[in-house]
Amino acid sequence: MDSHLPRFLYRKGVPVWRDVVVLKWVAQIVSAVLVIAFIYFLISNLLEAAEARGLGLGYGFLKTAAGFPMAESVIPYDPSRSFGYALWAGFLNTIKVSIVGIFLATILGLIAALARLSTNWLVRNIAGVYVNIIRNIPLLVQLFIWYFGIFQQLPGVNQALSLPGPVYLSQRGLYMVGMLPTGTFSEWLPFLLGGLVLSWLAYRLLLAYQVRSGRATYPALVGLILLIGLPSVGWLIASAPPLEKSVPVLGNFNFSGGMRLTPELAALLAGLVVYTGAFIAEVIRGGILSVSKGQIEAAKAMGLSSIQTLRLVTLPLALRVIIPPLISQYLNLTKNSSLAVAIGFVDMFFVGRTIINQAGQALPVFILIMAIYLSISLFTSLILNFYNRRVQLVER
Amino acid sequence: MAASESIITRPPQPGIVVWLKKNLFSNWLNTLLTVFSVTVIFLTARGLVNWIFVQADWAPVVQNLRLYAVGPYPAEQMWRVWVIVYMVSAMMGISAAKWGGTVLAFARALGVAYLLLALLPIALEYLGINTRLMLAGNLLAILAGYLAGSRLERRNRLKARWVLLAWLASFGLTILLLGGFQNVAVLPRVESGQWGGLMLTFLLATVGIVASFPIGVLLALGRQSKLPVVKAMCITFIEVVRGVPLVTILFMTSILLPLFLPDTLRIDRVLRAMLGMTLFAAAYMAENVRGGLQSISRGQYEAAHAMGLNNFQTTLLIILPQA
Repeated sequence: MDSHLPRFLYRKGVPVWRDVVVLKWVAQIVSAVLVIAFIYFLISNLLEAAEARGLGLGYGFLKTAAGFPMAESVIPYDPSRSFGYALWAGFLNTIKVSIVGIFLATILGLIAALARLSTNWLVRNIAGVYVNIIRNIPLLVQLFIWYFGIFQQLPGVNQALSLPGPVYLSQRGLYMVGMLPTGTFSEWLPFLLGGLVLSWLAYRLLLAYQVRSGRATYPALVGLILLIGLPSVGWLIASAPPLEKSVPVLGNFNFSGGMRLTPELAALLAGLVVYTGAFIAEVIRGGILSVSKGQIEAAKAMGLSSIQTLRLVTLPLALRVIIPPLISQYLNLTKNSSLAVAIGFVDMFFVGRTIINQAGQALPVFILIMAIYLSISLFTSLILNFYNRRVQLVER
Repeated sequence: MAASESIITRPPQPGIVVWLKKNLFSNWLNTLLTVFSVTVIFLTARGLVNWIFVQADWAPVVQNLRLYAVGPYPAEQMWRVWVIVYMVSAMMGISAAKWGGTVLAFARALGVAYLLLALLPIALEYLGINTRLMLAGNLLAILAGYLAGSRLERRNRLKARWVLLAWLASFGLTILLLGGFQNVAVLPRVESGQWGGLMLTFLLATVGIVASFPIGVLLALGRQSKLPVVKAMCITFIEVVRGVPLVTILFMTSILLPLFLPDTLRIDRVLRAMLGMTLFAAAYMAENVRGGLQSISRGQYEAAHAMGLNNFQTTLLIILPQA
């Protein structure tokens, strides 16, 4: 029998229409054809509609001048820049909100999680009330409360609320002390980065040596010295301090100096951080609770101190449970930042909508925005899967 | 002997002082935290009370109560909304009789909520005696549904599938009642642009939950499937929808969908929102179902096959109920 032929041509007994292999392929081809036909139907309609209404489908419009101002931007921006540049500026704003938000939400979540696990009845219940109330109110409502209920109701600049720091809260947003780089910053930067890299390297190498030889090498201590020491040396060597403290000062009409968060940015950040913080608290709490008591008792029996138990036993075990849902909370925060459109913060989605209104190019802009969000998500889940494979329990 | 017995019996309940000491003041750090927490609670409560009773102006809320409930739905057609509310109340009563447990508790809570609303001790413009009576009437509707349901149930005549079908029918009826018809004098057409408020929220949520469930299950099964083409399509759909914010999906369905469809097929605004919500929820549902599917051990599949069930039967009768 010629085994080069497909199986159903030479097999006897089972007729073709009952052969499982054939049936499976037929099912797949039919479903694929159905889906492709549906997509074709949609696209042909789209092309028709586009032709009838004179809608462009190309990306040429990205080069034309935007012509709309943006309230804030990480990179220098003015209306004469192109649509594409405006979208890029919006993207950077989204990234900025996400990074700052993720950082603050993690801290808040950690505090709330530890508070929920506290032995103090009052602290435990305050944290519980916070987590449960916040998680059950839609984020959009919370953003409205932060923006219209709080930041828009703040007093004017002249009666700004003054908090220690100094931090000033007013209708114009939040002013606080900032560190501004000076001319010697670029000389100092290598020292800072070098300190980071070297301390990490030293920590790993010394730890590996300690494990191998059994001699105490103090990896944490050496790493810490390098981390603080190198930048300090750089600071002293530089002719002028590389960073300068800038304090906001109330002038005639507004504050000058310092770091400013616009009310939109401040409200968005507050909303996202408080909302995501509650979810992160639950993730972290679940992770810590998932470490069984036996593990901790075993570590104690091995003679580890409580800090060593936490660092070498509890945390690695808890992190394995915490990290995947934590990352998905980070992604949620990034995606939720698109709700900024409701309170007027110029993130990528806001810019995209403005472009649609101005240039009428709904489809290309949407595809672009969705592709960017999607690639952020997919990139993150790629890293996550990689990490997961490394820390996964190795079972029999 | 007597002594050891008294040790075995319950230890004495700790007094309030012991409880306080153990839970709030066990060491200096805890004491500090307690003092800090009490301060925080006191300041928050004072601010909140001050705001609720002194600063805030509740008049706009009170005056627009109907707007919150149904949006710009025409006032003279309000009876339709009431009919729907009564229908849902009666169905809740019947379901409570059928399933008891959580459903019964929910029906009870619903009844109490209606009663409380009807007896709200504030004079409100839109909460006249008629509205109050209508609200209280819902309590009777729940009760009537429950009594009728229990009688049928006692005679074993109340089949679960009939109740589910009735729910489905009442949903269809809701849409028809709200929308009305073009040329019927009793039920004039109310465009979906005029639906709103809490009513629309409930409607969207119900459709989103109910419609996304079967789609989500199908997607999850497709993702677990051994057919590469089907699997790839399901994964693509799930990951694309999960990777973008809900707002973009909603904008997409509301702005772009009309472009994708032929001019003869016009989809209504509310329906487009429903579609977006459903697609979004379905992708998330699929991942939840997949988690359930993965928790089922291989042995179950093998046992089902050994019993002579085919793939379809295995999935429907063995795997899905467990997942």
